[in-house]
Amino acid sequence: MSNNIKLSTENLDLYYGQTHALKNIGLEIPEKKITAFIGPSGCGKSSLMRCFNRMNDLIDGVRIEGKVLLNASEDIYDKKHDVTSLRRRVGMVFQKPNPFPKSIFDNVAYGIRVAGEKDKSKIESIVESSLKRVGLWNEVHERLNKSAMQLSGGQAQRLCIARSIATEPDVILMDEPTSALDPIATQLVEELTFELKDRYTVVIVTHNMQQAARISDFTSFFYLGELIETNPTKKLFTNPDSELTEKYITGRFG
Amino acid sequence: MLQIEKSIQELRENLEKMTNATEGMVCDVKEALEAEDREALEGLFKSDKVLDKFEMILDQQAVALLAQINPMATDLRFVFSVIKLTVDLERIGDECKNVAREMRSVKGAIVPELKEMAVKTHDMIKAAFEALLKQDTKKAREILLMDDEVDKLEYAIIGKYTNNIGIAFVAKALERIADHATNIAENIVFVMEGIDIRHENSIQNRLEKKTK
Repeated sequence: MSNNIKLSTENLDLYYGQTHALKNIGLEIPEKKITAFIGPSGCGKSSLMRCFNRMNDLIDGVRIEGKVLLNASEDIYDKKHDVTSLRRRVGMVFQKPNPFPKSIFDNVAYGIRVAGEKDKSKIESIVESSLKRVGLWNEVHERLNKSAMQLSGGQAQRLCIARSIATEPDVILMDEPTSALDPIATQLVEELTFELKDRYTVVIVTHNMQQAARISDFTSFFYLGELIETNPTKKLFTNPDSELTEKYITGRFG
Repeated sequence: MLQIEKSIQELRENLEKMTNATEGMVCDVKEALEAEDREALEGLFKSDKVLDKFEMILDQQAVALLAQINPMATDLRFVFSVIKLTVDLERIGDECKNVAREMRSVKGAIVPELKEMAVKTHDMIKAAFEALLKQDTKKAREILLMDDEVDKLEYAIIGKYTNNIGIAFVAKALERIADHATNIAENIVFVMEGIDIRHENSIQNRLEKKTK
C-alpha cells in the first residue's frame, strides 16, 4: 500500500550558531497517518518538527540548508512562501497547554478570524464543530464566554487542539502534547489524536515511548541530530533495523 | 545492573531451572528404557509436579515484567518466547508421563528401536536447551535437522510393531517430545533474529529464511 507523502525533507541541515543540530535529514511523512519522533533530549526531533511550520525562524542564529516540501512540491523555505498561511495549514500543539487569555469561544475562533472570516454564524458553527471534535463541547458549551484560563490542563490542551483544527489545517504538529497531563487526560488526547488522522496528517514528538508505540503508524528515531531509523511503528518496536534503535528502546543506552 | 536487566536475568534463571528439570525427566526416560527399569519410569509421575510449579512461576513473572517494565524489541521477543516455552516444557513433562503410562502395557523386553529413539530425542532436548542457554541460533537450526531422524524412527517402529499398540504410543510420545524441541529451536531464532521460521514447507526453507 503506497501512502501519499504530505511532508518531506531533502538533505536538511539545521544549525544553531555553531551547533549542527540536524544533519542531512531525508524523511517522508505520509498523509493522514500519525508519525512519531522519538529520541533522547537534544537529538533534534523538536527542531525538525519546528521546521515544518518554520517556527525556527523565530530563533536567533538559526540557519537552515536543504529543503522542506509540503505536498511534494511547495518548498516552504522559499522566500516567496507565505509563512502566515503556512502556519494555518500546519498547526501546532505545544507541551504546555497555552490557551490565550481570552474566552473559550474566542480561542477557537481566533485563527479563522485572523484569516478574515467575518460571518458570525459561520464562526459559531466552526467553533461548535471544533469543540465537538475534541470532545470538549459538552463540558464547555454553557460557558463559552468564560475565560479559557479556568480550564483544567487536559481541557486546555483539547481546547488548543480545537483551536488548531478550526482553521482546517493539513498537518498538526504536536510537541509532547501530554507530558503535562494526568493519565486520564493523556488517554483522552491520545484517543483524540487517533481520530484526527482521518482528516489530518499528525506528527508527534514524545518522550513517552509507550505513547509512540500506542498511537503512531510510523516512528522515526533520532540521535545526535541524525535520523537513525524510520519504520512502521509495529516493526520498530518489535524488531528494529538499527542496533542504536534497539539500544534506545530497550533502555540500554549510555 | 539496570532494572530491566535484573528482571530479564531473573526470568532467565527460572527458565534455566525449568529446562534443567525437563531435561532431567527426558534423561530419566532414556535411561529407564535403556536399563529396562520399569520402576524408574513410575518415578516420572512425581518429577512432573516440579514442571507444573515452574510453569506457573514463569508465567507470573513474565506477566509482571510486561506490566511493569514494558519491554521492547529483543526483550519483548524474549518475554513472549518464555510464555510459549513454558507450554512446550510442561508438555514435554506430560509426554514423559505418557511414555511411563504406555510402558505399563508393553510387556517383555524393550525393543531396541525405542531405546534408540529415546537417545535421539534426549540428544535433541539437550541440544535445544544448550542453544537456548547460549542463545546460539546456529545450534538451534541444527536441531531442525535432527527432528527428521526421530520422525523416520517413529514411522519405522509403527510399521514394524503393528500388533503392539503400546509400543506405537511410546514412539508417538517420544516423537512429540522431539517436536517440542524444534518449537524451542524456532523460538530461539525468533528471539535472537526476529525471524519467524515456523510453518515453512521444507526444512531447507526454514533454515534459509532470513526475513519476515
